[in-house]
Amino acid sequence: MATPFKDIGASLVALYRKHIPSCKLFLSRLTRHATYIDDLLLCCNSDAVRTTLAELIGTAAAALLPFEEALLLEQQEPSGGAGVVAGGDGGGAGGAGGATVIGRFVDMFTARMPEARKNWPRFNEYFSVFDTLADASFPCRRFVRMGKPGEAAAAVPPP
Amino acid sequence: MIERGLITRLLDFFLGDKSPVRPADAPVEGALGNTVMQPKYFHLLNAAMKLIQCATTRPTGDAERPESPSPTTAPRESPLVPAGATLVPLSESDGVLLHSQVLYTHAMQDGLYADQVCEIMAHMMWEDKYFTALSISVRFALPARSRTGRLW
Repeated sequence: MATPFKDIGASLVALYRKHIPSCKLFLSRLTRHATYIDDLLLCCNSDAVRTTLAELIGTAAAALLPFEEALLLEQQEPSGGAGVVAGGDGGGAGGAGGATVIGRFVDMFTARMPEARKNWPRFNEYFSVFDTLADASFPCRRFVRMGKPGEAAAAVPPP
Repeated sequence: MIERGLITRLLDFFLGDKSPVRPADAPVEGALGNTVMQPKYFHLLNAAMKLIQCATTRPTGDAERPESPSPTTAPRESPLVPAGATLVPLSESDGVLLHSQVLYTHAMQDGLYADQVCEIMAHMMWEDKYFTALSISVRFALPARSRTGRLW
């Protein structure tokens, strides 16, 4: 049986899907107040709350992504290639994610991993957001660089 | 996300103290879970799998190989890698983790994440023939419980 909170969550998901400025506001607010993530997604004992929040975040990110794709790709170009240092905190304001709401959110969200470890019985929903983000959009995954036209033609698999 | 080291962070989180990219002087965190409850890594490994399938261990990306994307991603209805895109090279720490035997033995010990591990291994085997040899050695290094065919 669905709890009232889950009903509210389902309604919110439907509303967020239709209203991009709210998605932006929601993710920006979460980015500024990382304690919401700790309190509601990691420490909260209610499965319904954690699941609903994870779904809301995923929905907001997926809805916002198409509007930030161009900026993500644009900013990706100068960084060029993989230059990641293991164990980096990923929380810097610079870099490709710095000017996009999604980029800043992912940086903040990734930096909550130590908190997730402390709350291991409840971190499944936290990682489900990564799962959703990995599914949501190609530029957000940021692991693929669009090739130049010549490279693109060569990269298409033969029929 | 790959370029910001998410694969390394996810897999390092999964392996904990066993992680090969963890500094030797890092504090010991201990294993998560207890006799009653174990942590659920399904979504963590699922996210890592999706990221890995869109990356390459070769520094030059797809330039050396005729087909793209990998066989594990090509048949999907909505492929993770759109046509016309090249795979991004993995970082050094990603490579160390993905070539580490401990990752696969740790993931397959309980038999809960076989699907994700198999997808990762299939992609890595397509990437690297030396990884194929490594995976065979993992297969024979598994505990007897898993050799009975539970996973492979």
